Amino acid sequence: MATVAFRSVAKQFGDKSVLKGLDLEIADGEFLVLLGPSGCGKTTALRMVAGLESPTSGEIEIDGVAVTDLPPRERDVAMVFQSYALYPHLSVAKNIEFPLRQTQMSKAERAAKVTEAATMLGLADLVHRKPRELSGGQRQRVALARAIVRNPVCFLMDEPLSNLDATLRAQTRSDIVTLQRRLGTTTIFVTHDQVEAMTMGDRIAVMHEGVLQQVGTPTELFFNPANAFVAGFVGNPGMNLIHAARGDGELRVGEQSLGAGPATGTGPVLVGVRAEDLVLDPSGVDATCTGVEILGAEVHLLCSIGEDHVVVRQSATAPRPGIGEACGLRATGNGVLLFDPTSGQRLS
Amino acid sequence: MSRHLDRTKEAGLAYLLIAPALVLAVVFIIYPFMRNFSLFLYHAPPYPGLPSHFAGLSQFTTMLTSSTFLQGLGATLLYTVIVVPTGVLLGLILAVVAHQKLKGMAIYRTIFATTAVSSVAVAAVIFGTFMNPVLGLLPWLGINPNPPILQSPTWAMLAMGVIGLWQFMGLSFILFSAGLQSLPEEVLEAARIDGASEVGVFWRVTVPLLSPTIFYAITVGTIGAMYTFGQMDLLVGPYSAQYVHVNTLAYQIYQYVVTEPNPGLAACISIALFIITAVITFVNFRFLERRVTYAN
Repeated sequence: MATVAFRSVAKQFGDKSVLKGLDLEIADGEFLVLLGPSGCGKTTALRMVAGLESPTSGEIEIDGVAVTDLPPRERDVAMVFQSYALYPHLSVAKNIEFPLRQTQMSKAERAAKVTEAATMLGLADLVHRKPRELSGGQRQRVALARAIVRNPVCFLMDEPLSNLDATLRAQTRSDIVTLQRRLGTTTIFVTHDQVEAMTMGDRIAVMHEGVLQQVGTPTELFFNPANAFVAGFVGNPGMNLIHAARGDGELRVGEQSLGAGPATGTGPVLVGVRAEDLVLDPSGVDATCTGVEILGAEVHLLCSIGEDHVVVRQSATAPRPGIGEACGLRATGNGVLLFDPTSGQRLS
Repeated sequence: MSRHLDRTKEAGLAYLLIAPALVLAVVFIIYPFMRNFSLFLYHAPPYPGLPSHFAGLSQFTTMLTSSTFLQGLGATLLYTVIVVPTGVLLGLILAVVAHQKLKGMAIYRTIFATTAVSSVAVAAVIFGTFMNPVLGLLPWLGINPNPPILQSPTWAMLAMGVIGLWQFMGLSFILFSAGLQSLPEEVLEAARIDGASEVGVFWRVTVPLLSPTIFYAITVGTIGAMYTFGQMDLLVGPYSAQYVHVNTLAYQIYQYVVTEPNPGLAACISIALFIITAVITFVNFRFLERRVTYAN
């Protein structure tokens, strides 16, 4: 177990800058999720901790020691890849044993550790099989067993759940969290799926276009996003962002009132409001229903307010407009946030 | 009725579409193969135009015990042993070196791949010049055995092997280069993170993952080596080939067709060579393919 730190880490691929001065510290035993859309630099950051990529500038530290120039084998980290990256020519047992064979450990000790890791991940009956004889979920567990078997200082996980079906993904998500809590090993988990991030991470670091946008607990990110990008990316669905103007204690779209606004300040603003804080109200702003997603007990109404697309969450039994019909929308509750429409930074 | 007509039309179109491939197969594969069997069963007449006599298997059994055939078999196997394992190993090493992301590697790759497309005549001219006892590179380097290399029963086969190796190495290099390009990068990265050194990654991961390519290179190389005679003919010639032990079975077939025509004997050696190649290929499949791992 160890701390991991990025110190002003930047990475260029030719003319393209994929990481722009990342500063981030991960505490000992923490489960940190790097969250962001494809191409935001999260996988590059993870690969730098593994030693598979070198930073163009900056330092990577593990337990306070700079490891930037060390090869992967000298960093004592373990990585679980999106494709699992199992050795296809080796059995499950040999796959799990592979990292131990690179050490001075005796054969008996290796066998004991392989058995322990395989049992912990429910692979005891599969140890003689080759990876091609396993299902996606089983391969995933072999990759995890290979990662935990040598008790590394840090687990690095690069979207390890993305190849699993929805049911298995939910189960494995919980298994990984339980395993991490049990072992207490510092973990960096990369994903573009905000549900995974919210449900697994002690903290989440949101990245966009190579820049760290915000680091915080899932609750902090959900209720107090630092900017419009985080607000729109975190949560399912993400926060609605509506172009409006403030003045006279009200938020207006055109001449119509979207809801109560701050007492001070005027001018254009980007209003952030969660789907559950947006309600149908004939006296609200004009909107058009463009679609309906039925999720069982609740439905998501997809609506447009001018150029902005919003989602309204309501009970499945509540009356709702038909697709293509006009409706009125109003923001309620205390969850309304304001962002600068140009920079996207939080105003309130 | 109309359904029957449709099916007839469809079948007609199918025959039309396969006709070009069928004609080529009949003219260049099936007919020569059948003709070979017919030659195998008949004694060739002493003069062209005279009738052939049915010989059954007698030509074949006589050939099997002849010293020329046995020496040719030995020469063929020795040539294959010199060329194939070394060619596979060197091709793999060169491909691994060329796989490094270094400046100028494209030129290096082109140079090595070119040997695969060079004709045996070009190879023979290049190496003939090297080994020329008067003007060659080897005498210039102080290596000038007596008798000269190409007239020496000790060195001639090795010289033929080096030429074959030079050509096969190019093919082997191309195969391994393609194999290395298709290796799953994440598996190699996983091995590095799991603590393996670069040498460890090569032997424990790269080589096993290349096993299908290794198996293919050995099979193709063996079949190619068993049918080699170009450099023997161009650099040694039919009258010295037996003396210097380079009279391979393929070269004997060529001689019995061109220099001292005996089509029946040529057909017998041809069938023997076919059987030997088939057996070696079968053994390759039986014992080597077991060790091959196809990724997923």
